[in-house]
This record gives sequence, structure tokens and C-alpha cells, in this order.
Amino acid sequence: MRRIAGSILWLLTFGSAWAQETPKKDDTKKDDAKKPVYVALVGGDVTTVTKGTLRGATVLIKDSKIHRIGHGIPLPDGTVQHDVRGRRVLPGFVACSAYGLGVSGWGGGKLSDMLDPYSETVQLALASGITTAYLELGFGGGFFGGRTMSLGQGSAVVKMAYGRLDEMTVLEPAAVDLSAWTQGGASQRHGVREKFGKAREYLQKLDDFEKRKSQNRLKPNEQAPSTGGVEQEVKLLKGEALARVSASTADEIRVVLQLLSDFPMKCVLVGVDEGWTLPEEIGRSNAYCILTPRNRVYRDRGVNRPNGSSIEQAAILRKAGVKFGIVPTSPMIDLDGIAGRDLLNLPLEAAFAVRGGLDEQTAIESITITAAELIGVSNRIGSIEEGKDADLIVLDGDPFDYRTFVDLTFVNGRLLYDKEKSPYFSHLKRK
Amino acid sequence: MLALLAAALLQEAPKTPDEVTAITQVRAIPISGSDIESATIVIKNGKIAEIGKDAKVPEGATIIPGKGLVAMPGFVNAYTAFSWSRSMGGGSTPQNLAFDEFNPALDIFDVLPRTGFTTYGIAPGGGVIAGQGLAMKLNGLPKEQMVVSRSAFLRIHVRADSSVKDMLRREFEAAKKHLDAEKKYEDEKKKYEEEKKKREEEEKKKKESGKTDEKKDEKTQPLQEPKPPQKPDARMQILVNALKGELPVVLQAESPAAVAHFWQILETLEGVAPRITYLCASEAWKAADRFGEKKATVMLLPRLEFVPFTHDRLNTAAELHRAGAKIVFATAGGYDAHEDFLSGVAEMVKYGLPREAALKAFTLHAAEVLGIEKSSGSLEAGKDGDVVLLSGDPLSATSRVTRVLIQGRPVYEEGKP
Repeated sequence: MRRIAGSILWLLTFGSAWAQETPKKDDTKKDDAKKPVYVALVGGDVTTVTKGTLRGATVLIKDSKIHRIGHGIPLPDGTVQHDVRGRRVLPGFVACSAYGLGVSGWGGGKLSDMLDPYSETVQLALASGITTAYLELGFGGGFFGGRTMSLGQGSAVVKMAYGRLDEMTVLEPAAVDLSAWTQGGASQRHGVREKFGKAREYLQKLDDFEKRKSQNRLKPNEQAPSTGGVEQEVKLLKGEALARVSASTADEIRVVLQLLSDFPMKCVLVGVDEGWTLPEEIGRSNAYCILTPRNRVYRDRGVNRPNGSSIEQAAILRKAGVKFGIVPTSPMIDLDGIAGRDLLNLPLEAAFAVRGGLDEQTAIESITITAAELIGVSNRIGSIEEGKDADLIVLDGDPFDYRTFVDLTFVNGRLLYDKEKSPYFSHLKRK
Repeated sequence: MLALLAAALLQEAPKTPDEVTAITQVRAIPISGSDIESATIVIKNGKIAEIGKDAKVPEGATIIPGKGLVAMPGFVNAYTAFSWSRSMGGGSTPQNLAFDEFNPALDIFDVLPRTGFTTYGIAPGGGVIAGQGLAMKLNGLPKEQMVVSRSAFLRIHVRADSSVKDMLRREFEAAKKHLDAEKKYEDEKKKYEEEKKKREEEEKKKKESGKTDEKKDEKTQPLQEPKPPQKPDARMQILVNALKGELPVVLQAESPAAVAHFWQILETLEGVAPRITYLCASEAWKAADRFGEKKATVMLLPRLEFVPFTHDRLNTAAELHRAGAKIVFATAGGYDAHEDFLSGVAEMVKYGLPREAALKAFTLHAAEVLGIEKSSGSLEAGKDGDVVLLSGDPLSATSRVTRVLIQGRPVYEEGKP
């Protein structure tokens, strides 16, 4: 009964932890009257991901950011303390390819215009430790072989900021769709190549223009060159945007690598299955991959080269220096079918890569910092570092242990999931 | 026309409005002030002339003995869909009037007063920006006299959907442009008037001092009267009025997410001040803190819910009230729902909603939704003589409505046909 009573209270204040922890915000007061809110996770084993693991350390949050990490940090007066001794503190997991989390529809238009900050999928994502997701509208390229082809259409990077619509969208659009390159025929490829050629030409002209401008050698009334309708390609070549393209087989991957060698840019290969057959080539291209270690593609014995999927793919790519993110076979919150293969169990997918020989450090990176990097938000998200967003999770065990549950989830410094008080999973106790 | 005739025939001939009625020795719950143990309520010309402990009964007044009874202002149901037309439009049709699809001769209107309800908001059917709702009283008069306001509120129906949001954004931005142009014109006009006055005075002084105006001051430029901006069409004018807060808005939202998106649109429009009542179909409790922060008015059914996955009671109204929101109760149902209304409200009080907030929720605060709070929603001198007499406390399960007056006219008396 106590638990139930607690859960009511929790539900009612779900997402209003801010209000609980601070005196009521008064908008009429000046900003300088606002006191910073401090929250501390005290005594946990902190996996920073980028700067090693600190045992029995404290993470101090100031407002929405990570303020300090370490041992014996002085806590300011009024700090809300969470005793997490004996538990793990990690950055929130990042789902680098996902559908439907916090999205209220499947229609067209801007994804940020159809978010539902109160949706059950947001609550379940938080309960699964996911604090950020790269989302796409609709089914993109559809389901192939049990997983989704992510094509960058109507894409956004979204935080699972329950109840806070304004804090959800981090980046939009989040990627440029290059599927025309792999999925189209020669004429479509020619079109893509021509656009990149134009973009390169523009950049050269712009460079020349800037140079002459700085030397005061411009012609009278000379205007800066125009991009001529290839803004996206220009952004890609300048490294200001990420390309996304589905590439499962070695052939598809090679075709993409060809484009990348002609036009170097940041590119994410989605749904990579046969990457293990050409790891060095991918490594040289600096392309990112998104893998699903549990995905199986059967070997075609009629093809006279290694082919099909391999459980060792992640480990092999790692040795070749390829950076990758990991997503499960069903990149959404899936309450139907067989359990354990959707985003409710993201770390288990990474654990499967460990089973195939990948080191645990890279495996954890593949669902935190690398995942954040390949969706373009690693400056804010993906590791526990001072100044980064306070998106943190507290686990009751090893992240790759199937018995482990998420105890607490913080997004932007707010406690948005507490297993003890939430209706989700609070009945499941670890023995 | 037939409908009007029927409505007129169905009702008894209304009594002349200049009749004076006095309810005596009644326990009054005026809503606008504290309860009065033994009050006299005097109704003259359809309006409350006086209410109080010491109010005098005028000579010749029809006396209604109120001893042992409780008097309340007529209940207001601010949002119903009575006589929605079957053609449900889509998109943005703010010019549509519920008045044009409203049928005053519905059978249910004859029996609703016996549940204590006297005043209704009737929403227009239709799409996202659906149209204007009306406010009316069940006074048994012809349609034109029944309707208090043909344009009581603008109904907007939203989902968390990009097409809906795009459309609202487009419409509101267009309305905002008109609003800005209007403001700019008013500022310029003011400046112009001031300058004109100044110059006229100077002219006068010059004349008085006897100086002839031989040399015109070349520096002063001729005054140009600012041109008024192009008037928005009737359709757009309604949106402009809504943004100004002159026409109340009832925002019907499929989910709290839809409300959050609506707020995002409003935040981009600086300087607008719409008066909004939120009608959140479900899960409003999830956004209780946000509604509270905004001191929003939220319209609900007086009904307890369950905390998801449990059988624990969830009192949305109490949670919203605690967070700082203003509560309005309404019911969209038929006669049965009206009959059960008070027990629903009593349940809300039983489980945490303060009594005062609960009583205001279907009287004064409901009248505010319709923008008719100056004439309805409480027992105050000058307001309409809409009085409900009950056999006991309104929130007691054993109380009955015994008598109802609307604008001073008796429309229901227990035991009489």
C-alpha cells in the first residue's frame, strides 16, 4: 500500500521534480534572483566513458549541467543528495537510430511539431536508461530483415525530457539523407555526384572570393557566389552536417565508400551487416557505422567472397579503428512480440557485441559517446564530463548484465525516473 | 422558423419581466461572497435587485418562502455540443457560428433546468479553428432571447500534430500582423493628434499676439494624418479579437502534449494576451505543474480517474487546483449526466478539491469561460435573477433541486408539471 501511495505521488509530480527541489519559480522576478539548483549523486562508481571510472565518487549537478566530478567535492548548501553507494553512475544511453519515442504521429512535417512529452514511450525510454534518441518520422526505408533503414528523413535528435516539450529537440534536422546514392541506379548516382561537384565548385569560388576580399581586390559591386541549390551538399563538404545512408552488404558499403573517397564528409552507414569483410576500407574512409550485433544475414555460398553477418563484426571493425553505434533489431519501444530485442534493452545489444569479442569500453561507448558523436551531439551528450548536460543514469549493477535495472534517470539535471516510485518495473526486485 | 414557433408554443407564456419576486429566509450560497444563513433575495425586472440578511421585501412582490432551503446561482455548463450539425468541417473556420446550427427546441432543454442548470455554452462543430460558440439561458423564450451571446468564445480543437500546428501557426501569425499594424496605427494616430493640437495652439497664440503669418516656417513639415491599416476580413478579425483577449478561447486538446505545442506557438507571438480555457480530454494531470505555473483555467468532467496500472483514485481537479490552476466543471452528456453532476462534484470534494473551488467551478468560473461573468455565475445585485433552490446542501447526496428561476422567471418547481 505504501508503494502504491508513493506511486501516486510520484506520478503526479513526475516531471515536476524541479518544482519540488526549488522554491516556486516566479517569472516576474529578475533572473539574478534565481538560485542555482544543486543535485549530487554521492558515492557511486562513476563510469565517465571518456575519462575512466571513478569508484565511490560524487557527481555534482548544477541546474541542467554536470558541475563537478570527483572525490570529496564540497556540496553547496541545499544540495539535493542521492545516495548511490554500491551502484553505477553512467551517462544516459543514446539510441542513435530510433522510431516513435515521444512521437505522437507518423505523418509528415517537422518531427519537433509532433512530439508528445507526456507519452508512455518517453517514460519507458527513461526506465530503460535512454535519455537521448535520434528519431525519424515514418518508417523511412521500411523494415528490411527485421531492422530499420534510417535515412535521415524528418530526423531530429530528441531528449526524453518528460513533460518539457521545449527541452526535447536538441538538433533538427539531424542528418542528410543520401539513400539516393545506394538505392538508385547509375543516373541517380550521376545526379548525386553532380550536386557534390557543384558544391565543391562553390566552395572553391567562395574561398577565392574571401581571399580577394581580404586583400581588397574585389571587383566593384562583386557579390559573394551563390550556393545554387546545393546547400545540403555544401554543408556536408564543410563538415557541418552528417550524411546518413543505409548500407548492409559489402557491395552497398563499397559504393558509399567510393562517394566518400571522391567527396570526403562525415557519413553514417546504417544497418551495416557485412562491414567485417572490409574493415580496413571502412576505417580509411572515417565513416561511422550503426550495427545490430544480433542481426543475422545468412551466408550466400554462391558468392565467392566472405559474406553474411558475423557476431564478431563489432570487434573486427574496432580493430580497424572504425567508430560505431549500436542499436537493437527493433529500434523502438516495442511491447509486442519477443522481449529483449527493442530499445527497452539497449545495453543487451551492446553486450552481444562483447560476446563477439568486443572490449567492454568500446561497447559502452557504442551506446553513449560514439552514438552521440554520430548523431552530432557529442559536445553536450554521451559522457560524464564537467560542463556537459546532466543526463545521467544510476544502475543497480553492470550495464551488460541482463539482471541489471535502471534505478534513477536524470535528464537536464531533473530526476525523471525513479524505479522505486514509478509504476514501471518497481515490482521487479533484484535479489 | 418552425423551430422558433415550436419553442414559443412549448413554453408557457412567460411572465412579465417587471414582476418582483422575493425569496425569503433562505440559506444563500452567493459564490461571490460568504454564505448568508437567512437571506432575502429580491429579483426585479429579471435581475437581482438586492440580496442580504436585511434586504427588504418590496410591496406586492411574489414571495417564495425559502426557509430550510439553499439558494445558489443557476449552474453554468460552459461547454456542450447540443445540436451540433452533422456536417463536420475541417481546417480554419473561425467565422462559423454555433448559433447557425443551434436548435432551441430540443426536448432536453425542457428538462435540464430541473437539474439546476440555467446557462449553457454551446460549441460549434467543425475542425481545428472550429468557430464561435454561443452562450444561452434556458429561459423558455424564443431563440433570439434565449441566446445571451452569439459569439461567446472561439473553439479551437488541437492535436499534437505537425499539420495542425502549421495551420495554427500560419493563422495566428497572420492575425498577429494585423494586431501589430493596428497597434502601430494607434501609436501614430496618437502622435499625430498630439502634434496637431500643439500646432493649433501655437497658431492660436500667434493670432492672439497679433502677429500675422507672413513668413511660413519652412522647417515645419505639413502634418500627414496616418492612414489606417487595411482591415482584416471578418474571418481574420475573429482571430485578432481572440489574440487580444476580447473573445475568449476554449482550447479543446486531445492530450497535454497538444497543449504544450499550442503554448509553443503562443510563445513566438509577443504581446498577445488570449483568454484561454483548456479543455483537456484526458491526462491533464500529467501537466498539472505547467497548468499551475500559467494559472490556467482548465475545464474537466467532475469525475475521478485511476492512477495508471493501479486502482488508486486520481483526482485531476484537486491536483490541478493544488498546482495553481483554476477549475471549471462541465458535462457533455445528456440528462443523466446532468442529474449525476452534483454527486460527481461532491466526489471531487470528498477526495481533495476544496469546496469553494468546486462550487465556483460550475458557477462563476464557468461563466468566465463564456465571458458572461458580469451577468451570471453568482448571486449579486445587478446580475441576472438565475436562482436555484435546493432542499439541502448542494454537495449532499440527499439534496434535491426544488425550484429554478431564470432571469426571474420560474422555469421549474418540484412537483409541478
